Parts: sequence; structure tokens; C-alpha cells
Amino acid sequence: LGVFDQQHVVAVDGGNWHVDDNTGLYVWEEVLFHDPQSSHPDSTMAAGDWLTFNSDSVISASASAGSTGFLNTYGGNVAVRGSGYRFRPPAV
Amino acid sequence: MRSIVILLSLLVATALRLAADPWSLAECQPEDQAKYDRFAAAVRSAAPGSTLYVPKPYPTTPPQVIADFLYQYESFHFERADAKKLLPGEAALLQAVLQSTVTFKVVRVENWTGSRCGREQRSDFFYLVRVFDAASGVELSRATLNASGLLSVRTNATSQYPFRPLPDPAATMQQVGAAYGIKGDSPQYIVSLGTLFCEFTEPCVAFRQGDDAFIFHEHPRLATALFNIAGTTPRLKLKPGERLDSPVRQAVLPMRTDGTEHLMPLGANTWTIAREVKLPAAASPP
Repeated sequence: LGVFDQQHVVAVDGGNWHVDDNTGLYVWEEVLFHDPQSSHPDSTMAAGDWLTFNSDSVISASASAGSTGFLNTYGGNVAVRGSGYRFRPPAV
Repeated sequence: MRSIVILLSLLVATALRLAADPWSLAECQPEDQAKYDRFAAAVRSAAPGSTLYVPKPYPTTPPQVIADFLYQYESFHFERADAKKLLPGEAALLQAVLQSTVTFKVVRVENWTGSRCGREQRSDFFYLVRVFDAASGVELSRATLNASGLLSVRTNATSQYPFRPLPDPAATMQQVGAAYGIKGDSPQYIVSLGTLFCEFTEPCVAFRQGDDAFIFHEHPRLATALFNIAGTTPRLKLKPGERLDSPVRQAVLPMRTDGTEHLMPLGANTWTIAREVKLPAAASPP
């Protein structure tokens, strides 16, 4: 689950990404989410805006541990659509 | 053929409905402006392939907004994706965009969410791009772009979930004002992600009367109601890391939890209370 502005909960259901031909970076494009209050299912948000809007995440303990592993593996190779942000793997 | 249809699309694009005087109830921190200026410079100097590139940075006209939308949508290359994995409504939108059989309308929506004074970019407003099938007039999709031109949120229509018509702000203000006995001014669309939910692609209409602000909330499943943010209602500016459920918030902004009062984000990490306005006994709902 993602939370916008500390109040508004949405269910994350996927997203899309591509590998940039020139840089080789994994470019995170959009997050797919379902908003219970919305009159439409299947909205997408650009990854850069997701980093701003998503004030909280509700995930399982195993997902939390897994995310560290994923960040170690891919973090430095990920770029974010609509943002200049770059992920950095945690210092070991 | 493609260029002709694009030209036609641009010609029929509705003139950008710029509110006469867009307004908000919270200001970004002046000390953050240097950060926002750096981001704006990065967008303006970005080259194709950059995650910040749009062909018309910080667009100001409908054709520029549409150009930014089309560039970013086409860069997803959904035509290369497994058709079975596309979102509902995506195939119809993709085909129409690639064949240039679409028309557009663009309206401005004020951003009352936390992204107005964002972590990277300042986005006082969104451009809401409405995409129509040129032949049938059916609305295929709505998308919001930040003031920078960078894409934010997209939602497609389907036969099961068509879009609700977008109300005209001035007409809505007049109808609501007549019902509630309010003589408002400065109507505009807003997006707000509080429990009073004005979503990206189906925004609410807000207007003012003196120091008071009013938000007309229409929803297919929730009650339609008018909410007031009184000029005298306290504002709470959260510090970084502070939470809405903190004792500070409860002390500064106590509120009822029966649905008649809502914590209302104003952007800039500032919050207040919006209270439902009771319809006069003799009045008919707008």
C-alpha cells in the first residue's frame, strides 16, 4: 500500500520500466495503483512524482528485507522518469 | 495525413482555461526556491533521453502542453508491449494516438497536494489533458502534467468506467452559490488528496468569498456537499518528519470524525480543517 499526503491510501499493483539504450540504466517509468476513492481503477503515476507523493508505505517485513537486497543489486543502475533522483545502494 | 490531423487536433484544442487569478491558501518556503530553480534549469536544459526531458519545458499554451504529453506517452512505446499486459483502455488510446485520430482539451488545475512544494520541483498547478477520439467524441483518457510539462498521473476510460463530465467552474460556482446563498468569486479546479478527495483527473471546483474558501465535492459514491475553509480557521505547518496524528495537530486542528469535517492539505506541508456547509432548509441541492 502507498499513502499520499499521510492520509490517502492506494493499493500498488505494478508499473512499467525500460532499459535505456544509451545509458544502460533501468528507467523506472510509472507506478500502477488502485485508489479506493477514485471513480476509476488502474491509474498510473510517474515515478518521479511517486517519490514525492508517497509519504508512507505499508509493506511486509520480508518485502522490507528484500528491498534492501534489490537496492544493493540495482540501486545504482536505476533512473527515475520525471526526476533527477538516483538511488544509492546502502553503505555496507 | 498525420500532420494534418495533428494540426486539426491543435486547432480544436480548447483554449487553455487559465483562471483569472489562480489562488491557493499556502505558500512554499522561500528557502526552497533555489532548489526549485535548479530543477527548472535542469528541465529546460535536458536533452532527449534524459528522465527530465520534455520538448516544451514549462509549457504555457495548449499546443505546448499537448506536445509534452504526446512525447512522453509515445516514449513509453506501448506498441512494443504484450497487448495482453496493457491497462484497460490503453490499446484504444495507443491506437488513436499513433494514428493521430485524437483531439485534446487542456485545462488548468490548482495543486493543493504535497507536491505543490515538492521534494524536487515546484508545481503550483497541473495541466489536465483530456484525450478524445476524434470521430466519436468519446473521451479516452485524462492525464495531468506538472507545471514543468513532466507527466504526473494518467487514467484511461473504459466502457465500464467512463469519465464524469468536467463541470464548468464558473457555472458550478453560480449554481452552488445560489443554493447556499453565497456570492463567490475566483472559481477554479483543485486537486487535493485529503479525506476530502479531489482527484487528479476529476478535480473539485473551489471558489472564494472574502477570506473564506469553498470546495464543492461531487463523487459518484460519496455524498455531494459543499465544504468551507474559513479564513479564521487555524493553519498548521508541519515540520519535516512531523505526523498528522501528532498531539500538536490534535491540539491545533481538533476535528469531528463524523464526515462533516476533514483535514485539508493546502500544499506546502500546511493543513487546516474544511467543514461541511449546511444547505439552507428551503434550498434545493445544486
